[in-house]
Amino acid sequence: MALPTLVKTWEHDINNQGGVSSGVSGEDCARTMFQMKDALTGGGSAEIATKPMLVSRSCDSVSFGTTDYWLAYTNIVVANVNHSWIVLKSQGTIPYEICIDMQDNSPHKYQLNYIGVSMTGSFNAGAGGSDGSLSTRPTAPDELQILGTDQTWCAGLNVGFLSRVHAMMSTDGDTMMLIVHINNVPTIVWRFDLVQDPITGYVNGMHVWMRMQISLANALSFAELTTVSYKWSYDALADIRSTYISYEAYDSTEVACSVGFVVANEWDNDWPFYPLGVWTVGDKRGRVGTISDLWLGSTGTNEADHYPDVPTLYQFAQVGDCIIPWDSTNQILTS
Amino acid sequence: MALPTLVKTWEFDVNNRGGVGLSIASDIKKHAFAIKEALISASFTLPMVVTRSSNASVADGTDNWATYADVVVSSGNHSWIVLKSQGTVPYEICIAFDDNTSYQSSFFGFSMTGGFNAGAGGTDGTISARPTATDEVAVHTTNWNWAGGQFAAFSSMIHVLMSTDANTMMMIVYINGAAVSVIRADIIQNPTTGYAIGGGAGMHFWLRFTNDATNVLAFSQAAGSGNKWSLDDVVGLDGNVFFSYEAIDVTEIACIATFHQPNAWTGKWPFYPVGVWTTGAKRGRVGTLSDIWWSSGANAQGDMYPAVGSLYQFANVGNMIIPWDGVGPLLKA
Repeated sequence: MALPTLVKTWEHDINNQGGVSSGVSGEDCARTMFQMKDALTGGGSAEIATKPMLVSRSCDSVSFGTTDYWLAYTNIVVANVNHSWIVLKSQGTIPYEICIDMQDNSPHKYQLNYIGVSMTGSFNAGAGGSDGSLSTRPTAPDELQILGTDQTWCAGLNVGFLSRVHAMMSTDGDTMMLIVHINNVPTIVWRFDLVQDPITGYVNGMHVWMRMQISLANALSFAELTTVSYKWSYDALADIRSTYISYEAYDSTEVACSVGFVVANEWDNDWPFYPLGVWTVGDKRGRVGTISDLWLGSTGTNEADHYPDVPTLYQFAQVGDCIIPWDSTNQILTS
Repeated sequence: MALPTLVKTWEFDVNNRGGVGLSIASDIKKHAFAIKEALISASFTLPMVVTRSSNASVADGTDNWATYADVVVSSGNHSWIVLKSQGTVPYEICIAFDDNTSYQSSFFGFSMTGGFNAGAGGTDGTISARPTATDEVAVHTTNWNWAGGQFAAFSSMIHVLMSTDANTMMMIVYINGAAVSVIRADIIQNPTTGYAIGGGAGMHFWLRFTNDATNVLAFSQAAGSGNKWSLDDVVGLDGNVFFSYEAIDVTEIACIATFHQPNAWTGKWPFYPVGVWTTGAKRGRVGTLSDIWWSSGANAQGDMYPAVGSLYQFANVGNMIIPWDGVGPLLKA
């Protein structure tokens, strides 16, 4: 098929080296986390310039407040008492916040204590939560926990690994994706989408997908993309609902096209880009819209494949079984 | 969801009574005659045309089926008919009733080139032998209980819709309330590059007359590859074709199969688009069907959409939805 037309205008901050295969336990984790924060907030080369996420609160174990205290990976202090945490805020239509808490109750110093989301941006006392302290992360009354106590969040690794951090943000701030490759495997994905083509009644609906593998497993495989786990919908009714991402399938035996067709389309010789829908389940069941500029690719393609082959390269990249817009300049790096 | 916007301009000849529940012998005749009459209906801008026929007494290039009595099922002289499309692809459908019963058929087949005649290399047929075509595809053959497996009196309704360009046609036959027969021809919409006939898109063709009460438009039947063909300039005729649909979950569940209620956000029943995939000499998605959708598995045969306003714009047939005439409900028997 012809390359798809993008719905959004994207800015990329990609190929950021996180883990450097350090021999120091926890250092690669801290480096990776710092690059995640830096890429999303337009740090470094500020490639996400229009509407990067903002640091609304942070702590480096020495100071805490409404400024960014994470200026280097060394500011990420993993400890049981005074420790680092940060709250990142979206500048899009939905002012969601992501809170990351690096408290490690164990002596490891590479685990984390909490990653969660407040869709109302309420990780502060003014919104009914708490502001946090040197030893305690902020809380929000509507917080949704993604990872909890003592999580080995870097694919279960704590030392001697390589990682690359890729962030992309739409210029309206309404769609964000963060992917982390660890030792060539995309083990972390954060994806926030103000749902496209929303149906009547689904107002300002946002789809959230946050998956951080605790082993060296692909977070963007077909199985991960399509499972109900780690995906949520938030809408004007202020409810959190579980969701499915839908895809095209064929035959009465119900086979996903991406699984059943592991070759390029033999009519036009192009690899397929399968659009994705969003379905909510629970008290409101039904299709609510589509995900913009994210596609399911064939499971016959390889990690870090790029599209097209000619003439403007690197417009799209294969990560796991998904295809995402790329910067048209650089090849994706995975270690 | 809002009602979909139609791609085609449609004309309808629906709710035609075939079998009336009198006797198998007469119901079969009336059923076959009603099918032919609906396909060549004057309601259509470009109806199918009868290119050849036999009523067991006369066989030639005219329509010799003037009444249902002209449908003669016999192993001697018997009736047959060839119906031709006036669309871009001049396909022909041939139906023959060479059988020693009063109710079976001997041939349901098609020629994508309209070749059921001697001039095209086939044969013209006689009062005792159907025409042949060099490229004919025999879909149902000898001793086929083509009227949904009926052996006794039955009631039937025949529904045909035809696009004004004749490039999309659908016939659905209900017998005793079950959708047991379908003919559907589509010049594919949104064709993939390379999937072409001449300067236009390739064609999908679906023909099935069950010999039992199987609902041919149920998801389990319609989504499979049986009785479906693709035609294009490169591969030619390919019988390895599937319909696609939207699915969820890692276990690959069709949305139609798992969402058994209207969309809870809108209160509306869903209309799911239908894609077409080939899996033979060339594998891949080739395009979409126009103006036919998957419905929820919870919908009933003959449900009509919308429920308010201008009624009867769409009809639920099996697990699919098709445009309807806006006049009255779909009748099933």
